Amino acid sequence: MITLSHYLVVSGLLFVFGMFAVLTRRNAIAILMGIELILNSANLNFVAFSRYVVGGVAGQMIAVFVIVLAAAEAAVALAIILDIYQKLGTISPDETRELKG
Amino acid sequence: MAVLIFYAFVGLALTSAVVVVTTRNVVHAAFALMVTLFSVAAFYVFLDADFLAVIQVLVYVGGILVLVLFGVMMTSGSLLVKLRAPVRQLAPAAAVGLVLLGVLLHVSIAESPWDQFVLVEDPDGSAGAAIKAATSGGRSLDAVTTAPVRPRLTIAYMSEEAAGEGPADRLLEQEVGTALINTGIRRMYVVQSRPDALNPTRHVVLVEKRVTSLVRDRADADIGDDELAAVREAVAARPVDGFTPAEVDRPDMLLVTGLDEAGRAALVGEGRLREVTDVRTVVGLGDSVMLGEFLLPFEVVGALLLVALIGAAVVSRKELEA
Amino acid sequence: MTHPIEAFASRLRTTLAQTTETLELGGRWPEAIPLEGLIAIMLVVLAAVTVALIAAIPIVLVLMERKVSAYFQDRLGPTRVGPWGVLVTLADGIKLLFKEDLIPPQADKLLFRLAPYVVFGSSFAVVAVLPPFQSTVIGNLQLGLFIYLAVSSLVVLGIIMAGWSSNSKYSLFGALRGAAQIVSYEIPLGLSALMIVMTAGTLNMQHLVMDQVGGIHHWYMFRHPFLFVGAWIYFISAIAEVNRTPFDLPEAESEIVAGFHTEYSGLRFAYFFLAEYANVFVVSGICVALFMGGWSSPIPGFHAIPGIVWFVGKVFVLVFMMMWIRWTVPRVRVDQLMAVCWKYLLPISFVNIIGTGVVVLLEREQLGVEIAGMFIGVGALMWAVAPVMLLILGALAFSGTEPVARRSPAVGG
Repeated sequence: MITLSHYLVVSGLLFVFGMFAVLTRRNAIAILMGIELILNSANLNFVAFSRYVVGGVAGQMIAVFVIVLAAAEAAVALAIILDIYQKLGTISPDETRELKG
Repeated sequence: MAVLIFYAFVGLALTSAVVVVTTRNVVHAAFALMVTLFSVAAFYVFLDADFLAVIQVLVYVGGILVLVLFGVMMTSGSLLVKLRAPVRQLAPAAAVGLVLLGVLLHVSIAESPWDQFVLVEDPDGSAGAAIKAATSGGRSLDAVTTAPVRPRLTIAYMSEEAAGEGPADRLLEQEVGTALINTGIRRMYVVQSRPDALNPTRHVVLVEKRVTSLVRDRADADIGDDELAAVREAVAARPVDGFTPAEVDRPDMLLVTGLDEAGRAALVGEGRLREVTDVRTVVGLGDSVMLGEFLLPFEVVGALLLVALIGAAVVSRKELEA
Repeated sequence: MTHPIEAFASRLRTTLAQTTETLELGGRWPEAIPLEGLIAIMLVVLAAVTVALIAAIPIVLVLMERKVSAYFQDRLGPTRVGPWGVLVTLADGIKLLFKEDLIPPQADKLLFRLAPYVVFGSSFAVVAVLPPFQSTVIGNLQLGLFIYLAVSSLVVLGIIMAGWSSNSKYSLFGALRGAAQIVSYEIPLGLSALMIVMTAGTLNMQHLVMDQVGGIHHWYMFRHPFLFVGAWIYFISAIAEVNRTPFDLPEAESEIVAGFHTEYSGLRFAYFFLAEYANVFVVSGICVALFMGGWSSPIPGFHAIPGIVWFVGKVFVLVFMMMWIRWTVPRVRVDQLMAVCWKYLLPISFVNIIGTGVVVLLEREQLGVEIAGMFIGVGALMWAVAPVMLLILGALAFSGTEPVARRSPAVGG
């Protein structure tokens, strides 16, 4: 019998893993992957609550919009990362110290 | 059986998430992210959100991940397969992560007020009435919500000549009941409409049914006055927990069975009855959700996506040699 | 109410118990098998049988390709392996099995091994949404068309995996080109499918086919000019999706050796090979189901031939056309490829969507005869003009009148 708590535990673990990736990785794209994990865990939470508690499709619709926004954000983030790579030759966040772009 | 598959996907998702976070090879991390996103899509299927699951595969796996892979390959610097990315500051991050994990697990498991969730109609919003209604009849409950829940019923239509206990009736009740679970209702009230000698058009019987199974149909229609009056009478004649006659004024669903073709045609012609729409079909989703409640977010997100697209193209183009 | 699979499994279990009892094979021991285990075994067996059946399709298509290409090139093709060369696929398979299993040095071993299965699996998984039969469905998925679009985009990941893990320039270029091509052409493909969805109001493939029953004039392709043009755009995008000439840059034999599957040999290459032909079949199958009536007979009222024969026949007509185009038209350049998609097919698809929306609105609102008449008049004009438009656009797109002004690395700039 799969209850809501199962999904909350899974999404909590995914969130923590994503956060760990954001905090420790030294490759900008790996940080982006951590952010995607965080977004997915939040989506899972939304849909789980929508299914077990609230009813209706509002949670699923929120998740759809979050997915679309994640796509937009990934596109812009990768564009910026590519730009940094062309200017600095590396994408380690440690090296990006100057504000002048 | 389904539980085993669920646990398999849980294991897959968590394992691949660990790989994403810890591996030094960024390409491996990207493909492990693919496995994680796929497992999350499987979770959506378990949560009866199959449209969302397909969107997840299409957009996240088929779009964002390809974008990330292109990014990884374009910033790799060379064609070396092994890309090492050092990992530092493990200890503080691990500490923060463990604390957060502890908090989340505590809230999810130990303190969860959601497991024994019971929807109780509570028209005046007071806790006492809700608990009384929920525990009446000798039932004991572990937790009771006191949030006021609007009893949502929507009219549905069933084209059976002989209303009753036939298999078709049960099937439709199952399907409609499944729809109700998705909207949060745990009990449904079936008004069976059978002609009898006294009332050649209708004889109302209010039957309480348990809602147990799982499908996704919804129906919307306005309800005619005589249907409302009939339900009001039936509820007044046999009160059921938490469902007061006052709430009949704005009912959401009513399963009216036993209408003959003429009756059905009359109601459909007057615009009071619509066919059961399947939320999973395009028409159902479009009518009920996309162009209804969520039109503004839809448009805003579309505009934002366009801006992001153009912005990304502008930011990432190479400076042309002068 | 129990799930149908559970009900079937329990009946199967009882029948097995009765059989073992009557045959005196040890009493009614099957009844002790837990139902879940039986369901798991059933599903595994069913999956294996289904994959085996589906694998027969590439076998037929390989022979068809060899023979068709031979006849187009004024030669005979395989004649010695079996009567009329029928066993050539078997011979090919045996040859591939016996080849040495090479993994290039410094290749990423895990990804190299995994890539064929990703491509193979996602190409085969889409067969579940095809509606070949009139009476039954393989899986009556409410979101069939949508699932096709989603799962077919998984092939891209397999291609990138294959190209990257081979640790070779040619593979990587082929893979990235292939990924860019597939992802780009998914858009006109999806938009053309969207037109059908707008017209039908459902994503369920079986309902789409049932909506086209009743003769060739009911087929979506022939309902109005927007859908007609859309059908051709879908077909062109489908050719690009399966990486066939004229869009086969990712595996261009004369340019980059063999593209993303350069380094694959033996059984791994066989997986790619099978996946490509299965993809061809599936994509043609979807085109038939969407635009050409699926299993319905084009002659109204003629029900002697079963639906599956019509379906397979129509699919083979489309596959034949794909092969015909392959052996007739030369390969396009990569910038022409992208130009065709983004500059020609995509705007036409947008116009088609708007047009289809207008038509659906007109049909729903049942507006007056004047507007309908005007539209019919315009429609007749478009019917005459559409093929000419397509030809002109094709000529423009592929003729190279588009000057390669900017230097792009793909053409040595």
